[in-house]
Amino acid sequence: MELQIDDSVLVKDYIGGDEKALEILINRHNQRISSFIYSKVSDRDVTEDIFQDTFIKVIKTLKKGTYSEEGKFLPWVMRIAHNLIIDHFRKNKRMPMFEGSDDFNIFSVIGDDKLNVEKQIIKDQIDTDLRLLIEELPEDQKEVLLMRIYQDMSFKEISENTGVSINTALGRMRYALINMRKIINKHNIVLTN
Amino acid sequence: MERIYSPEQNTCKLSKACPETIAFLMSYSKSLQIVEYQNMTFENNLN
Repeated sequence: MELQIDDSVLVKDYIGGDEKALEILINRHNQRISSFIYSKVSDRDVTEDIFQDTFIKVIKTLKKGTYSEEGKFLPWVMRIAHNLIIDHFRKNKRMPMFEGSDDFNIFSVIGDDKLNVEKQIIKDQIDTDLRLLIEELPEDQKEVLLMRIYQDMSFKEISENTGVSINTALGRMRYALINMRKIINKHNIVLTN
Repeated sequence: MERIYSPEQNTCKLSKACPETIAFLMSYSKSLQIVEYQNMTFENNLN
């Protein structure tokens, strides 16, 4: 015959620092609590989430020492789960979730144009390398290129700001680009995204 | 008497949290430290 340690003893052990006691408690009531949650939400993933959140609350309360043992561990956990289920439905009511079907996927219409983390890192590296390359240019070419690319100024504005003609500004921009290409080729720099 | 067996006996699975969830909860419990200082409670997650 298997000896079953009482919930209240396990709770006391857990508060006293015995982590194993929590594992026994979770495994003992796993099916009962999961089934209770699943019966309300009818979704396995949501059940897992609520189960997890329930025990996070249990762990916090037990560790804080605010739990009063009255021999009602399971009803207490069930009450927490019940409240979290209500929260879940409230949240879903405020923010209804749309799930795509096989025929129609919402992400085929709404795309996320943000770069992923890897591409963002590559882009940042390229931007940094470009700034270093620009620093290598002669001062007059660098000035025009920075105004045109980074400050988005027109060639008319650049000519007014630098005191040269539009044609000179255009020429400096052209030489700036040619020189940058030369530096890139000379040092075998690879700039790709 | 005729004996009827369903060909799909395993379709009715009991709902149970998966071992990964339990493992997560155990790790969370081990990493959580609650410190009280002057009527304030601090939660530390020491991962």
